[in-house]
Amino acid sequence: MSLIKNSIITALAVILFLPYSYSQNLDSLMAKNALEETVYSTGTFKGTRLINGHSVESPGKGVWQVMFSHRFGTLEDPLYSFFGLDQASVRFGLDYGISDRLALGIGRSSGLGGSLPPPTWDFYLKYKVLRQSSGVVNMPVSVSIMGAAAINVEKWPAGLIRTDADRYYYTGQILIARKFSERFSLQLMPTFFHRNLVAPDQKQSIFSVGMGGRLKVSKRAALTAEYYYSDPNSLGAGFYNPVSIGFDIETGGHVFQIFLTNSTGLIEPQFLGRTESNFFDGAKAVRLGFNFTRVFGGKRK
Amino acid sequence: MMKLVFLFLFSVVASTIAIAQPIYQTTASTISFHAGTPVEDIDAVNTKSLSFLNSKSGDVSISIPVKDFHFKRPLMEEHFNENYLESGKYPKAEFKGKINDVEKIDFTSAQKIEITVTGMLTVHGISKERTLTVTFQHSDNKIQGETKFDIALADHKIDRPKILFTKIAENVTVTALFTYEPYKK
Repeated sequence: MSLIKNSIITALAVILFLPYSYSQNLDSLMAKNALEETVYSTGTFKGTRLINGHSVESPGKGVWQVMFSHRFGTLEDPLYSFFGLDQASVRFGLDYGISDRLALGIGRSSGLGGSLPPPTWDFYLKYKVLRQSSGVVNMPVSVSIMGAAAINVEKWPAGLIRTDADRYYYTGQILIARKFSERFSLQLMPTFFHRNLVAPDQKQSIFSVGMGGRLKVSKRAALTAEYYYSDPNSLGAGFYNPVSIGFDIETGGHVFQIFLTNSTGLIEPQFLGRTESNFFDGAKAVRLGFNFTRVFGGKRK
Repeated sequence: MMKLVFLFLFSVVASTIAIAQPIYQTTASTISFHAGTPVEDIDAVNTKSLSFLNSKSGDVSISIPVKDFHFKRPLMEEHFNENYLESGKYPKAEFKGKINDVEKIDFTSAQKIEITVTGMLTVHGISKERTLTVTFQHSDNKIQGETKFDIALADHKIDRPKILFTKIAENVTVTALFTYEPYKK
């Protein structure tokens, strides 16, 4: 009798405790032991430029980026000027990623006469201060800071009362961006720029605020928009704020950006400070622009 | 009464020992893949995968964080995440399967044994049944599993755009090396 009793109790105990041990299946082990990670957002924008101005992105470590930028003449008489080709301003730029966070660049822009900016050399440094992430480190935005200096290398005719200091331009920018979804990113750009040579009704130092974004329409194409606001009184009579809408196409190592804008300038103090037409005046103000980039190198071991 | 308590304890201990033993966890993992273009090689390595293995039931589960594949070129890595694997949408790749004829396998033998594992491989949100040939080896209480196989990108709906300047191969070759040790709670 006692043997049967004991057997039953043993069996019950084994049955009771077996499910407990077995319940530890691989799925729950997987969930329990999953690595706590920080996932960083990548590709907030396709290019290192949003349209005219910088984006939070920079070339990765060891990457060289060659960039051609053009701003055509207005679309007022498109057939005669071939969509403004005759009055194009051009910048040739070279960017380099010192690290995944720090990049520098140099550029030379052309253009003389009419509404075109003067020939200028420009230099910039851009540093990724914060990277948007989720997981262990939760960071809602990416933040980069950008500092630039430029020099007007135009040959001034003898007799002009100007000093070398009149040739310099400076820009400081904080770029704050958030990738809201795979398709949609927004960027806010508080910007300070300074030029030494100004007309009497223009301010030398101006604070402006930029806003822009992108909406991907496919994996490799996106619509973009960018606007900078500066107080019109400090820009002086006849100058307007730059408005741009564009389209980005990325094909492997190339990014091709084509857009409509009202500015001819290719560096901040010029597109922010000396845009001479009002975007909303239509064809006589709006011009085609494009940025074309190609990257090289960046092999890490 | 003493007998009863003893029996009770025995059954608890016995059940835990018997069940706890067959579970193994990865302590090291390397998954790499190779995809060529006419211009250059594309190679990436991931060492952040997590896997469990039940040597009794034969269950195998592997979880692979896609963003942890690292490439030689930063832009390749960005394109891999943004355009090909869409790691924002599909952050993990997975394999859930069973070792075939597990009861015939002695995982504690020091010899190299070749086995097959059949299960679902989920990449880019698309699951596909696959049977992988895996070489297992046991030493110092560790099990090492190694496999190599090809994946057709089309199987997982990974697009290869026609307008790309550099075309990537239709198939990528995947190599995986996992080291398992008995799971400790």
